Amino acid sequence: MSVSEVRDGIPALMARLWRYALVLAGSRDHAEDLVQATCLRALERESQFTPGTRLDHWLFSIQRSIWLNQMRASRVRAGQGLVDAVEALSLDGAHEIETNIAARQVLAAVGRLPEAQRETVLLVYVEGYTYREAADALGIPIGTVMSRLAAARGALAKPAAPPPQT
Amino acid sequence: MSLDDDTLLTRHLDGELDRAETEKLKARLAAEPALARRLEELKTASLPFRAAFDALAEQAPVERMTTRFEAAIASRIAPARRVFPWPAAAAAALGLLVVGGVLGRLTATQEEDTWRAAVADYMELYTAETFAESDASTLQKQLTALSDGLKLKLDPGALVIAGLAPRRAEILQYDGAPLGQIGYVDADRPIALCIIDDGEPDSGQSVAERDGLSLVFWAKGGRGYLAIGKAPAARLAAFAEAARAQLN
Repeated sequence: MSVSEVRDGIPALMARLWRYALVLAGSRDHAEDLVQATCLRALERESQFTPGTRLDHWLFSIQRSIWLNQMRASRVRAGQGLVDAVEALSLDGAHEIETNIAARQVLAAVGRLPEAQRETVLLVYVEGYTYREAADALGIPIGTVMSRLAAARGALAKPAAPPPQT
Repeated sequence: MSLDDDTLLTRHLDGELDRAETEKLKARLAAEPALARRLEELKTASLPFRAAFDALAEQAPVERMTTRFEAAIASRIAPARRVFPWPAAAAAALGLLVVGGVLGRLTATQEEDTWRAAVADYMELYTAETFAESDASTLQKQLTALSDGLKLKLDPGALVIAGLAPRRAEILQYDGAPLGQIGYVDADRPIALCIIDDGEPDSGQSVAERDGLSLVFWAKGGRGYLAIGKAPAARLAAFAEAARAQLN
């Protein structure tokens, strides 16, 4: 039954929904509200979910559309603007264990990317979307996915040592 | 280095080049040192994205979100269940799908069905004992209250339906509209005849099944009628038929 597939599948996907929400909304409070709205919308529409297809991708697309169509505009209207993503994409707590240091650096670097690149990086490099899937999820041509990722890589790359003078 | 080349190298690093494109790129890399250097640069942007975001995901307030979600499910279950899960399957099973118009009507009534669904919700909890026989004067008082509430003359004699005598009557309300309920027992199974004075438009008889309950309902003279019980569908249909003939 699709009904239980959606309802039962949601809790295991919450952490991933939240992290995507954080990339979209840029603050933990808004991320949590966005996840909640997404889960409720998914329940309302569970009859539209095709059993056996990717529940995670389906939920992500609901979340994205709620963010774009409802929350994003109201946040901007409320004068809150969009929070600095560098701040949002950071790890809590003081445990400066080594894995977290690396993670902090990566998150901060992704947080400095422009919004569109940041979301594309999340979908492709974190969530494992193919270019095609990302293009569909974002409603953009596949070429735009490629150029966003190329630009993100360009921004994240360490410049190589200058070529030897000849 | 051109943007096109950055895109090409990115696609290569992401495993999105096909075989022919890969071969072509390899040939160019061998011949163009600048392109090869750019590849090395872009490779340094292959950061441990997944590990970093997994560390972030570990900080997600999963417990709080799950609790909120489950609370939302719990508060929604009642209204959600009030929408009858019947339109296509159940209606087809009942042979109602004769014309498209019937489905249209069923779907249209779904939204307004909240009072019937509310009755079905509590009806599930009823047993024959719920409708224990009242003595004649108590029943008469109950029916008088019902008649007043619904502005409809009801007397015990007229309420003997399909050979079943009324056991108990009470007046409830749904969304501000008086809702009368008369209890019967058929072969040890509770059946309720409900009448609501909510000004709904006349409608012919519809049938539904839900969670082991059979439902037959119609509307006449601004009142909605519902016969509901754990009785077999055919038995309930006969009961409803008789009720309709006697009351309308």
